Amino acid sequence: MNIVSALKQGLALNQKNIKIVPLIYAVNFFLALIFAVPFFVGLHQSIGDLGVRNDLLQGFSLEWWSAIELDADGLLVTLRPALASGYGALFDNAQLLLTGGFKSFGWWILAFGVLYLVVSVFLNGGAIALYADEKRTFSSSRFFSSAGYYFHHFVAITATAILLYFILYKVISPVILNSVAGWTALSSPRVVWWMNFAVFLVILVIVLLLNLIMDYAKIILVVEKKNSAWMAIASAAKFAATHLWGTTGLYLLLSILAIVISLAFAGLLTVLHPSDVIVLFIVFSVQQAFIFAKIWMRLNYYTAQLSYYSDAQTNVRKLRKV
Amino acid sequence: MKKVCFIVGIFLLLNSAKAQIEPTACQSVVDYHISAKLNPSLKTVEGKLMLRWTHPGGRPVAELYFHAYPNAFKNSSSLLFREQARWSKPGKSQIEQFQDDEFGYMDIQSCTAQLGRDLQKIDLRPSLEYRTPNGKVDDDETVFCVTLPRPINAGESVVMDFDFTTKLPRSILRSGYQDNFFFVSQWYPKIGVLEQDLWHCEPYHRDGEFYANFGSFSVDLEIPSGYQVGATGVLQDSLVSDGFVKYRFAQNCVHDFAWMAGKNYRMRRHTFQHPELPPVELILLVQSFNEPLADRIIKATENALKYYGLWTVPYPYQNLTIVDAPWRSNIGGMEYPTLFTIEVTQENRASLSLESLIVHECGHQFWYGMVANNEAQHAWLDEGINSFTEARAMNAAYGLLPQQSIYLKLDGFGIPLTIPGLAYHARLRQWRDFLPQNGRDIIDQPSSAFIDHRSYMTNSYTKAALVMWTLEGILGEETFSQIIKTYSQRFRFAHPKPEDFIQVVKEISPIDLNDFLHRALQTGSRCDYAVDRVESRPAIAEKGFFGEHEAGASKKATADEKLLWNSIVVQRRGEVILPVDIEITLENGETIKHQWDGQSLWHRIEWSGEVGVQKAAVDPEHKIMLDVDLANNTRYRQKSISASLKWTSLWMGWLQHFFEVLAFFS
Repeated sequence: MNIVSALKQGLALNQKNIKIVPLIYAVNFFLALIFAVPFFVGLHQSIGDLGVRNDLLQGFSLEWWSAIELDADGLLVTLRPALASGYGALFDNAQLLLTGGFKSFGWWILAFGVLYLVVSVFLNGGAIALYADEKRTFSSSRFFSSAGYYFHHFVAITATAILLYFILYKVISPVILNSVAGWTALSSPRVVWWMNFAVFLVILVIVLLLNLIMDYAKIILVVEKKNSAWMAIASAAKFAATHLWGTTGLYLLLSILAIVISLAFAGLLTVLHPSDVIVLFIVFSVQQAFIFAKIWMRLNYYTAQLSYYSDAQTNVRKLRKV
Repeated sequence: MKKVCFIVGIFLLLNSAKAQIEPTACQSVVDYHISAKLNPSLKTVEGKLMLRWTHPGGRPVAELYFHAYPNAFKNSSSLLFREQARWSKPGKSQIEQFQDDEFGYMDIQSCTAQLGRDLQKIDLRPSLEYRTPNGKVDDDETVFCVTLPRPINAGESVVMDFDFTTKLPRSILRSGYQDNFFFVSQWYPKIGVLEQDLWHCEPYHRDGEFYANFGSFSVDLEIPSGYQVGATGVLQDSLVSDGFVKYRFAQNCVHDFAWMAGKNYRMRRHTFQHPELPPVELILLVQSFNEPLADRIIKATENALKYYGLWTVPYPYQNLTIVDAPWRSNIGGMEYPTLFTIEVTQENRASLSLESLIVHECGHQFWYGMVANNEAQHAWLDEGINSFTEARAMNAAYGLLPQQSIYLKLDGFGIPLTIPGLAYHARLRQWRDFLPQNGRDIIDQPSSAFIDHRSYMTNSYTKAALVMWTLEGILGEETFSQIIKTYSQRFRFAHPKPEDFIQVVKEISPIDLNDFLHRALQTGSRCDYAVDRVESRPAIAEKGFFGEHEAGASKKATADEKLLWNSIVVQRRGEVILPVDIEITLENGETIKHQWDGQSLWHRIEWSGEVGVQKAAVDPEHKIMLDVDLANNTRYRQKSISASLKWTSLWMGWLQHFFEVLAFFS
């Protein structure tokens, strides 16, 4: 199967089980809402009757933000001018993936993020089990029972992944970046910039390759009904290596699709400047659609890679029979 | 043809002489003649200096003090390195990164003097002693003293000859070498300033810059072939011989001389022209890979010459050299007479920060170059006024500055995200820089006396600039421009002190600003004006006895239900006292303006009327840029949720994305 066919099959598979997307979206939305309420209260107390509220409504207020940066604690300190741009969140995401600086927004936000991660691990088990199910129709009881069944295996895979990412962010990246700083101490600014850019590109490739292997590990664990998460990771690594062009090509294709969708939404959000209630409602709706699309896209990685893997394994079995 | 060229040449010469006001108005205290030879492999400059120093007035003196600033880089005992280590993380100060051969020094081989009409040269080398006018500073050797055989009187001159070798350090703090680039500043025995019978000759501190008398320089430089050379002053001639090029530079009415020699440099020449200002030849020495930026650099320099020239005094010299110093050389961003250095980084080239740097350094040709206060004692006088003029010029030339966020920020790396629709005045950036340092130090003190480097920078540069912005806000642009112009004209080629600036303010300001200037410059006083309360409520019904206390004279009136009692309270939450504007906006859109002298801690305005108050603002135009909380200047009577809703919505979206990034690892 070529990667385009895998992508098409994956999209169809995701479509058949589309009910999973709103389920995950709801978790994301309500978890964020838990923070949004105190954030709103704090912000309203700070600016509700101040003149700077007009600046904040039209754009941003450096006068207010400068004081907040110095004195405020809690959630308000995470408010930044970059959020006014639709691209702000994307740049933040990219930075997090490349540096692993997840605690930069405070421990509470990180704690809830980890909670969301755990819930996602649980839901992934249900989702991949449903996708792999031959009947391929959504059933909530089968979804949750599968999620529970695979949970501990998926936790093991995620824990392994986090350990590897930790080594990447805290050991490998600093060593490479410090070495580059040493090698380029006397180089021109342009050379230094491109060298660092290249390093971040390498880090990105490692991050994505690790993610690719962990995706296949989860798929193999479910499809092959493996009992060991680490065996699944080993099989996934082997599969990715033996099907290097197919697996990376498909991952790249999915990533391009994700980037195009993200840029389109970010562009739209940047164009829309909410300064009245109607536009604000539109922006909020577009933003939520963006999150929905992001979750949908994340699940596409599983469905497309599952299709690719299943097809590859079918071919192997056929060959063995022959 | 030759004849035509000759006539055209004469015409151009005369024309340029007419347009250019060659500075002669300065009191020339010093006259330096230096011959120097650069040895690139040894990183040394061997020099011969002949100095004529004329006693500027006052009591006779026998001791002469000199700067030997290359000794700041001599060893770990120098004041510079000790101060630098004080503020560096362990193992991170530059001294700890230096190899043995990377230190620098000044070696004075001989020192003789000729007094008055005596032809005999007196050897002063045995009397040479490393000490400052205030005594010895531990093992620091950046100031030395020589003792003449007899005191010299006011108006009398002494001619001194020095043979010296300056070993350049690896580039550090405005001086030294990096690869094939040599920047040679503070490199010769430079005499201190005798002022009111006191010598001003500061040792080389980590913070703080320089001070010297005006005079004339004639400098012969012998540089190996293959280098581009730039220096203070005008190139008189150059001669190639034996693999060396001999240059002669000369300049009157300057107080220092710096030069550079570098390989892989390109030279661009351009003439600045403006109908109201004399022409200036710009000489840009730019690293070859930065050549695409040449037009930007020249344009920014022209903008600085234009606005500073129009607002202060015209740039009086024939040329101006701009040196693009290598990145990380610690040399870019410094000023010398008729020459300044810049440093191009990936970050500043991606924004208007490069232009800000150029305008600032070029601006020092005016505030430092011509109006030459003692930078070591009163850094704010040049840095603060220059930072103010820089922000003003940047706004005039480039408008509002875009808001940028830098991602993946490292030394030499970062990806900028420009936030659409968000831009601000350069003075607001200065205000943001100042906020965290508010109250930590006072502005008017010696540069070496600040609590730390950050405090020195903030107080001398940004807070002092904000004092200027506040003066402009209170007095109006026209009056303050007159102050700046008068101050610059009066102290051109002179050495003003803070009291001179304050005197000019007093002369021109229609209001008494003594208390403000004292608090702003000599104390760490806080400045904050705020609207504390805005109220409108139904007026109390008229009840009780009115008129004569006789039966039947009383009445029980009913209140006019439409009548509202309005009340505004504004507060002064700091010690800085200034008159402020108060602007009240009524619900029908009508505005009422008041002025409050700001003397009391609070001020209430009350009245009854049919229309309620919508909002009140104290200092609505943000004239008082020293105000540490500009956000509390305007307050509405009623709260509104729109802005909070908008930003909560945007923030929640961001948080949802954050959660999804973590889900990437699931």
